[in-house]
Amino acid sequence: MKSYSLVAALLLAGCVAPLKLAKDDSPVVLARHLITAPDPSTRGTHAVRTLYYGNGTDKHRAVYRDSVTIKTGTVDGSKLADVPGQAGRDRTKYWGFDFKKMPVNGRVWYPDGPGPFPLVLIVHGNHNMRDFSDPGYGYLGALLASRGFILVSVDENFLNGGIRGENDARGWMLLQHLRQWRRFNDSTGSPLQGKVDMNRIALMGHSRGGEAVAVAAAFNRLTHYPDDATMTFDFGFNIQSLVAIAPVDGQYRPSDKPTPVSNVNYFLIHGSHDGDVSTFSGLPQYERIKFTDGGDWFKSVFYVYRANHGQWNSVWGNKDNGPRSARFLDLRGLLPPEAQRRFAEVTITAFLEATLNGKREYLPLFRDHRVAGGWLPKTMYTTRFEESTFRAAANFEDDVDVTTGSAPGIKLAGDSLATWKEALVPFRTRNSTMFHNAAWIGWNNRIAGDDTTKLGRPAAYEITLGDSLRTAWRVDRSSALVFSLAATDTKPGPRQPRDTTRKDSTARKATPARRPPAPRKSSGPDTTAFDLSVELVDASGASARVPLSTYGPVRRPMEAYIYRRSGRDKLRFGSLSEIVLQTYVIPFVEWQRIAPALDLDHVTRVRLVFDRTPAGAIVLDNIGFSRLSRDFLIANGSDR
Amino acid sequence: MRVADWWVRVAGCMLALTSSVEAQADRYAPTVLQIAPTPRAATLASTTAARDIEAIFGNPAMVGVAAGTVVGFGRFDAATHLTMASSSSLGPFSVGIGAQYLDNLSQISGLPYWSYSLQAGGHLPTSSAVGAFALATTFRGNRVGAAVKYVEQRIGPLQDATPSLDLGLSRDVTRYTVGISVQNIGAGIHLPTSSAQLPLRVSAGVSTYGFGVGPFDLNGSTGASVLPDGIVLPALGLELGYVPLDGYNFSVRAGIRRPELRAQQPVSFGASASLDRFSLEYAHEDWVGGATHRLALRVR
Repeated sequence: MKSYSLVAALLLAGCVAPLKLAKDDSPVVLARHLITAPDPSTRGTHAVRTLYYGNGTDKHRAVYRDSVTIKTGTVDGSKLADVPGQAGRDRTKYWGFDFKKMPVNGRVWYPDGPGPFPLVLIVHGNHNMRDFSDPGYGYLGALLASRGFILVSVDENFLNGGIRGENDARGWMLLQHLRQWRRFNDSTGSPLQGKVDMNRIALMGHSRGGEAVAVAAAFNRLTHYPDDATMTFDFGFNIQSLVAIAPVDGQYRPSDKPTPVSNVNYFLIHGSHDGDVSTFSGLPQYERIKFTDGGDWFKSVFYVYRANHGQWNSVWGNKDNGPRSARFLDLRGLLPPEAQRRFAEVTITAFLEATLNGKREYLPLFRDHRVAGGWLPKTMYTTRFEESTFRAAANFEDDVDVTTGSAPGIKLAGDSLATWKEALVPFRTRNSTMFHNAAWIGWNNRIAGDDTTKLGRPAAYEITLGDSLRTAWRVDRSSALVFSLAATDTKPGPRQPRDTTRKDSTARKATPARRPPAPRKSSGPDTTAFDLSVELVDASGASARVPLSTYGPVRRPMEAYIYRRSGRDKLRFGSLSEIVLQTYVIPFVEWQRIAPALDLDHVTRVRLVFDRTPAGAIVLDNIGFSRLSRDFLIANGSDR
Repeated sequence: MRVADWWVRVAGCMLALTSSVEAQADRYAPTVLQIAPTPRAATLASTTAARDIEAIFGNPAMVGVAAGTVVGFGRFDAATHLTMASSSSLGPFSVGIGAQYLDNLSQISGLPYWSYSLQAGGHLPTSSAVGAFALATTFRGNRVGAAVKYVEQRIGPLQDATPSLDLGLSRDVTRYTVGISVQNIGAGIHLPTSSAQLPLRVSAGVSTYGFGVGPFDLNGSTGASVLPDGIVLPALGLELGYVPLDGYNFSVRAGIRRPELRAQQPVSFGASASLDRFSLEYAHEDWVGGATHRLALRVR
């Protein structure tokens, strides 16, 4: 009997995949701490007070029944949310109300002081509606209130459970809460009278709540509900910043279009080991955030290796698909919950301090996270960044001509490339894309033949900038080159040697060219270092190169295994890694350190020279120029 | 945990009830309609609201709730029982087919069959069989279903067969499934020397799935059937499952019921092991004079 048990145990163990994590480079990447601002995760000087507001009739939660300090009414969201049939009746029976009488309930952490303080709303996402989600952001509430923010965790548990297409209601509810806050602030005798700065508002949301904040920002500027114009809007709040935590996207599409959001600061975080929203769904929304009014805005992304979906909320915990999900989710590789929440404390607080309180000393964190090695939990981060002065030379969205950029006067060219195309960037989930194009570039500098050490001229990808555009965009020594890039697993075959017997193009046509070897995917992850050079060329032809790895981590794809069962990830996903591009911001003056004679006021070309890795492939996007504020740089410029 | 307590209380009542009531007389035919079709049915005892592939033999309204195929084999000391059932979806309908065959011996050449012979044997080769086809659909949140069956009884050279009809209704109420059924509506089996009614049965049951008890999943099924002579047959089954890894499931089951046949004993128990879509099941049933061992392979 013992031997049978042993065999069964061994069989079972054989089906559990061994823990596989990408090699951690954080000891190197996060080795330094250059930012001089105080640690944003340390508590501030304010005493923290709490209160609850709501309609005071909640059936299940004493805090929204007996402990309500400020009474609010209900709002009719029946045009935005609906659960038909028995399920709807069951919900109404459980809650004691339907979508026509949604309560405006919130739990508040606020600083003890006269104010006015910036107002931050956070809203949970979908979860078991009986396992109330709103208390799970208390760790942020206590921290932010101590630092002079009012944090409200909004109750939308009555929109949870088996419900679909309701993220418009989730976003609309946030605006209803803001409407109440305007009243709290203006009402004589209110404990919050005069404490709220309604010109400094941020919305934060997790999961479906992460989509809801974008919906709220869009609705905030509309006069009518897009899907039923008989419902009018009158919000117009001064929403400065949005934070999306592991958000979904596209579950609600106003007028069947992607939610448009503009002129707002946007911060997006997502974990590689998210067992619920396992695709980085927030990236399309990040791409859609536009800065059009000349204001001082920025957007940033942190993709956090080993972070999951639920640990951002202390109620949800590490089981992303319900209490039984440890049966199929591999929890062994996850960041400890304290570390994951510490990351949230650091980055969210820094973002809010920078965008609501004007503490610009936190801005470098969002341009290059390596400046904050002492704050960030030791794991790997891939970050995106763009601020409102960025001008895209090529975002690969405009046409099918791979030689033209996104503005007149931009020319794109390839030299000795093995692959070069513009195509959609896929998500790791099979048959889904980010609805966004990028350039796919591959090279192999090795010359095919018996001599495996023979290398040809390094391949290169080149962006040429016309004089008039350079003038119009004011591209000069104050500018920075900005682009986003990710290495892929693909390694093209070696380059074919040139046939020196050919004399002209006719002869070339007469002899069929040998087909170059097909690109191949290595059988296992390639762990060799990956790098390339970035070259700037001025009008006189002078040039200088800097290694890309100086300006941000350059990584091969980070595989993330989410499931315990061996082979499940390969079955479920099209790829074991998500393509998340890393943004590099390289001030022009960096090239002048190497080549002082380089004329930075007349830069004509930017070249990505693939001279540091003999063969490889990249996805390149959003290459352009920025005149970003010096606040994004470390003051002494020594942040390399 | 309140739910687990509830099930324990029901089990206690069942134990008291079944221990205080004598086994029934053998008065209906064919025999194959009076024994559980599969190991799971044997151990869950009540199948009126069970979500099983073989629901065609318990409640036709439940056909298609679990889709797949199950084949089973049961061995008595002097009889062999074979089962096959399959169910799947067809547009708005669920379709089920099933067949059972009992190969046994009889000590008398007439009806009703003496159930002790399943273990003790006899001198007359005997068999009974049923073939069934069921259709179910959902109407206003209720599952409704009907099964037409063709049943046959042979004892030595004597044989009779007749069609019969089952009707069923079920509904999910929160985390429970409730069901009622009327089974074996038909003319009865008539041999030249004797005859017997089909075991016309009106049943009501409730089942529940997936209540967490620590690391285990607790499933249960209970119900009662009423026979034409007014005899009430309560039954209760519990299943404790453990999933160590997605796709693997190990379960133990135990059932208790008031026996329908005289030679049956109240208690049964069993186990199953599942890997993805495949399950191998075993059940042990005590009978007077012996035991039955049942095996089944279930493909979902």
